[in-house]
Amino acid sequence: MRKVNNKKVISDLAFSGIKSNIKKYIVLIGAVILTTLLFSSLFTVGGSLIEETQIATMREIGTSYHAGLKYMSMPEYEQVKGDKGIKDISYCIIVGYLSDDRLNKLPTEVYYSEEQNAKKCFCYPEVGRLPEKENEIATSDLVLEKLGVPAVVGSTFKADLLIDGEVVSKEFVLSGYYRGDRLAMAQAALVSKELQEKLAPVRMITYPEREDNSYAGWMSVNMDFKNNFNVEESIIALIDRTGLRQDVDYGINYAYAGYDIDLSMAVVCGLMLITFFVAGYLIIYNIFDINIISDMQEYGLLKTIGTTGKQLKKIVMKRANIISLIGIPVGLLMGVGVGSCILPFISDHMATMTVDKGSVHFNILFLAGAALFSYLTVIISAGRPCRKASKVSPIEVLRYTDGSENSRKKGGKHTIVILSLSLALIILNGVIGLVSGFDVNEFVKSDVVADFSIQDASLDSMAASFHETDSVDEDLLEKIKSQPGVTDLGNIYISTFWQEFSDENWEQIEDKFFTDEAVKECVNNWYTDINYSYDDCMNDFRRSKTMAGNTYGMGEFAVSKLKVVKTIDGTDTIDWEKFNSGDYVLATRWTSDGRYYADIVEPGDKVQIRSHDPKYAKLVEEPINTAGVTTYTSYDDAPVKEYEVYAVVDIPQAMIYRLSEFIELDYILPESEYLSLEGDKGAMRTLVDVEDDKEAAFEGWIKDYTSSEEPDMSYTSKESVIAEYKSLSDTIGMVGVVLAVILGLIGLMNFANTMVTSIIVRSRELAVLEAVGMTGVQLKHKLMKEGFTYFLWTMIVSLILSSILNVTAIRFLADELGMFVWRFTLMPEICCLPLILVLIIMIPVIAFNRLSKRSIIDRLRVE
Amino acid sequence: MFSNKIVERLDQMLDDAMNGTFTESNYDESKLSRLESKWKDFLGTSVLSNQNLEAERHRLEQFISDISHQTKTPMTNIRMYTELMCEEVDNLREHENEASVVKIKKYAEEIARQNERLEFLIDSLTKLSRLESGTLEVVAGPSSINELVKSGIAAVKPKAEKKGLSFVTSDREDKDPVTASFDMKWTLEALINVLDNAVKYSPECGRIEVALTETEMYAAIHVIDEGSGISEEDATKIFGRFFRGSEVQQDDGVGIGLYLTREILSKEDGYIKVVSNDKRKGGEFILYLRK
Amino acid sequence: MSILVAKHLKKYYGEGETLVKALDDVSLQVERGEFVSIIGTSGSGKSTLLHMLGGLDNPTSGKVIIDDKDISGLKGDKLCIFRRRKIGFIFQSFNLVPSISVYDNITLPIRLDGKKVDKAFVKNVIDTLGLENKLDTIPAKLSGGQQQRVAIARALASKPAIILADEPTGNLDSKTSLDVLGLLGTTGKKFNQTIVMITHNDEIAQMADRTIRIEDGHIV
Repeated sequence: MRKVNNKKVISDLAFSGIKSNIKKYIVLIGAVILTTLLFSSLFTVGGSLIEETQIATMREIGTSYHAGLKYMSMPEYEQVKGDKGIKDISYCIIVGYLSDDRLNKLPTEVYYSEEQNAKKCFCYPEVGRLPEKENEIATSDLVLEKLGVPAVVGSTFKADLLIDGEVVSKEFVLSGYYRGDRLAMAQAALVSKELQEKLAPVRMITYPEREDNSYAGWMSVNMDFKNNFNVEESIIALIDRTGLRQDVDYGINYAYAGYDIDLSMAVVCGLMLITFFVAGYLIIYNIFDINIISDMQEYGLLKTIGTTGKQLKKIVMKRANIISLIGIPVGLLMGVGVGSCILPFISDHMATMTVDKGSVHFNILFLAGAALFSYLTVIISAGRPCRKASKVSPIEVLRYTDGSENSRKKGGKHTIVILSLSLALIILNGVIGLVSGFDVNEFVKSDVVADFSIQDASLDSMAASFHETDSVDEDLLEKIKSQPGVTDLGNIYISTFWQEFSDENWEQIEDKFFTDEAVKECVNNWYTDINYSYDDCMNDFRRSKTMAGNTYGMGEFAVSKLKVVKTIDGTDTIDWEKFNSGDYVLATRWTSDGRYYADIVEPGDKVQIRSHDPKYAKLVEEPINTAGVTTYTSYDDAPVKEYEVYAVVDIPQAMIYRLSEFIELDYILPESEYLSLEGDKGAMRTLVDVEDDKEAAFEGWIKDYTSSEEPDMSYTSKESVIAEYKSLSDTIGMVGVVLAVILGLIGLMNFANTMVTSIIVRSRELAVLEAVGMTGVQLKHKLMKEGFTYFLWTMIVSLILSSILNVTAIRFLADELGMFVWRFTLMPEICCLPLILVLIIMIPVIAFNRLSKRSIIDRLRVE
Repeated sequence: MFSNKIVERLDQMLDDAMNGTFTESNYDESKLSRLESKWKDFLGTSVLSNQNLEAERHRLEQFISDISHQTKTPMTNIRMYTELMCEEVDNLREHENEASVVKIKKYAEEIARQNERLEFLIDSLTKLSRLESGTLEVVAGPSSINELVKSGIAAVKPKAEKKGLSFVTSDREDKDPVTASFDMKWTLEALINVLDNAVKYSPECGRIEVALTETEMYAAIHVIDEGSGISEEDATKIFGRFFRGSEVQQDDGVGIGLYLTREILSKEDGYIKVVSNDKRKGGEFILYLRK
Repeated sequence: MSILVAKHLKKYYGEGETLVKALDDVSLQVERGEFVSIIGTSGSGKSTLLHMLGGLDNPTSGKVIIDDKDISGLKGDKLCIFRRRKIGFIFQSFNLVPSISVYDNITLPIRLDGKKVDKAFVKNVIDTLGLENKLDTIPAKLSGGQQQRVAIARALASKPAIILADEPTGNLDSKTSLDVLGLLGTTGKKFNQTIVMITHNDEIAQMADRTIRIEDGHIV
């Protein structure tokens, strides 16, 4: 049915209502701005962090393309290039590697890249340009630094290119360089098309048709699809559609596979969203409601002259929309500002390592999300007042004279203001309570076993994909030993391979270890694939009779830091002399997140360890399919030595190699025995204890050493770990306090608004009281008493809720985070209450003072 | 395109209208519902105009009967006096009686008076009919009330002086000119009617007060006499055509005057009000003229 | 043909001992174009009666028929739309929408109905009520009399079937009251509007064609 068109008049009414009550609506807009600010700063921080993680992943892989086809020939590239499913496509052609000992830890690929490819693979020169001439090259500043080439366009240097095992030496001119990221798997050295064609001409035949086994000259074709949903499906469809060979090697960018948000962060974000929503709802609803009540006369009047309930609803909703339209953009801008201020602090504690760490990533989706949440809050908050307005009875309004407004509704108003005020106090109390319990000493003990731990920088970085495990060489050890005050020094060596078992041993393991319920459960949980059951897993184990595990070599000092579970002789210490005899080994036990333990081997068991000395390594080629062969290193000829398990131990976190399998068995050999078995190699890390008064000097030296002499090395000191946690704790505190202040502001605004409105609404009543002889002081007392009631309730509610929160959520968090010691406290809140009390008593008095500037007669006249 | 349902409803609406049973089926925000309301409105006003036509016809009949009724008395009188005069002339011719001359003179005067009354009546009726039919238009425009009042008083002064009446007007007239929007000629007519009335009902040697007051929208001319006033009962009837107060039946004058006055004033968005005598002693008429 | 018919209207409040009969069996009839005043002292039930007639309040029993429509059958938004189209209200307290201009106030009921404003007619109404210079002002800047004139204009502008006036001069001084009443009466006649006005003042009631007296909920 066609409807009559009265939209215009509705929107006119909505607008003029705002215009004529601009003050009231400014307060409302302020509330919307605050709410949006909360949402958008959350979204800015959260979104930027997600983006940062995603970019970190991309940089690690070295591309932001959705997908790529590898080992492609030029004809194949031509074949897929024009496909309609592709948004962007570009390629690079592999030439080889830079061959230089200085680049051992910084593998650098040499290739020709199209401009667009270079841009999206994070290797487009930020200074200078892509190489054009045959002798030009562009690479990362990290590579240049390693090679000792000044980062100046035009620098010349000689470099060896490793192309299929052959080394080509060439004089290059630097045409440009980009900021390299240590996170990347490989650095890029870009050469001109000309050079590439000369050294590694692009392939014209397909990969299976090739005659050599070389990598040079193959194209890597990278592409973006129209969207990044299900990239794998898109590329498979592309291969089918373009008739490319089915065995083509494709890769998808797993940065697009799904956002890696860890659960606890998601929970924190969720809780914040809910908190913000509640805070926003409380204030917007309250102000809206107050506005509606004070506009009731107008709504009733409109209804009398024939405005329907629906039209009234539309008017109110229209107003909500106008308010959103003004408040949300402003709030968004402010939120982005606040978010970008907080972001660096939070980003510091994230395990990402990118060039643009801590910078704001604007994503229209996140802004839209924040806007949507804010808008929803406004709309939901406006809902009830809106219904109230639409249900107004004209007759009631005609009789309605002044603020003797139904007192039953006041209960609701009270609740809202009290909740709103309490929210800030509860959060403040929770955060400060948590942060004040910061006590890292206990916690750090598991993390830091000695004063200093020195290792390769990549070792403990969760973001690094490559872990250097033998970087602490003799030279460095000598330097450390020569430092004054060094009391103890303990090396830790590692080889990571598979532990093998004799049939006898294996039987025992299967009988005892694998029958353990917790182990069974763990295995079942580990394999989510329904086609791979516990039995399948056990069969695989049985077939290989191996188990993942590391073999450590440790010096006396390091061994003394191990936690002994049980020993062969029933004591709980390890006799170094006996252990160091060369007949013994220490073994770890299996654990499920430190909650449950199970022994795999027992003290007294005889176990075999195979040597992994490189001198026994043998390259074995094994055909995988018709297409090619795979090569692997075999140690089948290496000697195996038998040891007796001396003790079962736990290795503190600070000493381990931080990659683990779900079931693994580690062995620990004495340093000398390890080296004789495994051959001479560097230590993974070394632990150093220094005399207390020399600690600072030592730290100064090691800091200088790791930053200037050997930047690949890093150290952790007990102090620096403590400082790191302290700053995390400070960040939590800061964010919490900022949040509490904003929420407090909202609460006070809510209170002020409710109080001022109630005074204005009752101005006539108050004037009457004054007229019959109540003095201003008495009136003020009356109002203060009302404020005091709010305060009392706020105190009661917030203290109760804080207590509940304290023994539940805060306690849980403290336990979870480890670095806080939980204790029950209400002090932060109790300290804040007097301030709240003062404000709560001041606000009505100020409002009344402003009101009483008008004469009584004036006020009595007020309709 | 009209949907069938709408066409059906329109058809039904016309049928109902012809039967005189149409009412709106519903009230909602649809255009059809609004159309129904408009249709109802139209039917209502056309019924009203039919009613008006009917009333007009009735009024005309009444008017004619009123004319015959109102003219009957003067006509009868004239005929009677003419007959008497004729008799008296015969009498004079026979007796040469001085008294007869006096009588004849008296009859002649009476005839003249009746004639005058007749003239006034016809004149008023003509004006009224022209006014009502719109032949003569009342053109309201800014005019001086002081002038209006002056002319009005001047017009009735001779009659008043005969009765020994005096006029009192508020002093402010000259100092503070009052203007309103009215048609001078017609409004003067209206004012004179009211003043005439006052002269008529004033006791001998009485006082007639003419006062001006102003409100935001109206200028009011109060005409206050010391006569018997008008009862509350009569107050709403007094402006009906040919009405004369029950207590003043004998006095000469024709009820048509006040009616004409009301018609004239309403043509220029003004109105006339009488203060009934339970409110005050004497009679008071108030003429409100739109500013 | 009557534009307004009220049949056996009753309005009771409370119950038992506290039962108040605000209206007790009131029947009346108003013809098209009539100006009727309902006079009664305060508490006589006249306001209740007017609210019933205007569909602002529901009677305990009885019927109100306006323009052949029994409004007791209308509820909620339908009643609202009915009021918008059929009834013009004039209140003691003016009840203008404070936030919009005089002109917007006058045309509000028309625009709420999505109708085009009959500009010539509205201008005529505005001129007759002497509001031509105040159209862009907001109500708060007008005097009481002026505000009430705006209310009259608003009631007239939508050409309702009937105008209900509730003590239109109750908040005005006597001089201004005269203006407002004069205008109500003259414009009612001029635009052929049916007007029902309630008042407690005899003199004011005198402006009407007919007076209905109400006492203790009964018509006398």
